[in-house]
Amino acid sequence: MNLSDKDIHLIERFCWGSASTAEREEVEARKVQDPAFAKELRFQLSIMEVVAEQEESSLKALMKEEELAYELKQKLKGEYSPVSRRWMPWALVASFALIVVAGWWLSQLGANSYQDTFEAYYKPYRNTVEPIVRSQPRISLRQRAFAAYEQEEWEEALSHLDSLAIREPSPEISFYKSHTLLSLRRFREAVNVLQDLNTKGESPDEEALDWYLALGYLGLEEVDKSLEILEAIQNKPAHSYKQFAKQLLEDLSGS
Amino acid sequence: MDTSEILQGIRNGDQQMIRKIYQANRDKFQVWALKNYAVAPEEIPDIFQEVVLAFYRNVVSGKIDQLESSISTYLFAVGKNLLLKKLDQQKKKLKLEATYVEKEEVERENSNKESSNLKEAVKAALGSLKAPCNKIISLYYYKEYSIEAIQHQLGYKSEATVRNQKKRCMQYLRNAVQDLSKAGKL
Repeated sequence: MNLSDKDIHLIERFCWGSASTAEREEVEARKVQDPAFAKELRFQLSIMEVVAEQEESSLKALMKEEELAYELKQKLKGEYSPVSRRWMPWALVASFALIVVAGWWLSQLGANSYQDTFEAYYKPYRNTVEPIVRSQPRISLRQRAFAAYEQEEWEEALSHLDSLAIREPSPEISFYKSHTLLSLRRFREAVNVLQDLNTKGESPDEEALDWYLALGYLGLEEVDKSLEILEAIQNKPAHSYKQFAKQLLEDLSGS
Repeated sequence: MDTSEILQGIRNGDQQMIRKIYQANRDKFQVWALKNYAVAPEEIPDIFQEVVLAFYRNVVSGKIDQLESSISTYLFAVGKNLLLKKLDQQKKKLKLEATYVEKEEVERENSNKESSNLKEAVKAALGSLKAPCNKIISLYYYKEYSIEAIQHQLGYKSEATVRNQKKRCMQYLRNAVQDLSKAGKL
């Protein structure tokens, strides 16, 4: 059954939140009783949702870029790690001890290595595929793998991800395996996995792949390859890791 | 640059204004939120982005025409509401987890799947829209322009012409969604 223009306007007002209380009650009642009405309501809501997503995609990319720049700024200031105030005095003592040890270590080493730069910039990619609900038991292998990943239990995460890669291989699993390997500082294996995803064009997050591949090469001290990727990132106008790449290139040129 | 110029810039599509607002308020928002609310630091980026997005939507749709307070004050007021809402939702979620019913979860999953299929179909149909339909749909559904405002914006002779054109665009979308669903492409 076709709906009248009046019905469609009612639905539009409901979707925009401008319907009166009586109109809202009418919509709630008719969406249960009238399938054509319910279908049109779902259709209009979907249009609003999709149009908003399309209109806001560039804005979201811009905010993502700004957020990364903010994280980087905080990290370089040494403030990014969320340490509660209660632990602040101990953190200061630990930081002082770390500076003394690091100073001694660097003097032994003679020079700051590229791996130190990797440490300054590396932050594990967030688990965005398997939400972990703390109160629920982790039954499946996938849940256990991502729970270990979130808890930064890298050896356990790697073991589960390897099993998953055999049982249900996917670019997503390879992607997270590469990050687990980076976290374990197994740079060569991580770079191999990332390169494979890059060649096949299968990365779930292509911009992240660029950035982590550049970091992987830095860890391997294959600086030319790293610089090449970082420059490519910097030259892309809306790359999410543009600010990171710019800062890292500046650091590398100064070192 | 004063507030009204910034708002006008955003309405004209200058997203660099949003970048500046983000940079100017991100750190202050984090300090304020952590001090006043029981929120985890890792949740702040998403919350702040929601706040900025809400501000942007309200500017673009004309709900904010001018501000008596500063943009920062407005953002913090939106942030306060959002943080309180989130904390409330967390409490409710805890209660729900205690009375978790498997059947409800299955129903929710089916409903999610259905709406996700419809959304994919709408996305594909919207992608196939050409001018002036794409412009009209965007102005009407995102910027929430009235028919009269669309008439002026796109230079139509009368409101009736806009109304008829919009009706044709919507019919095209309905048919496209139906065809995609029938063809089993989704």
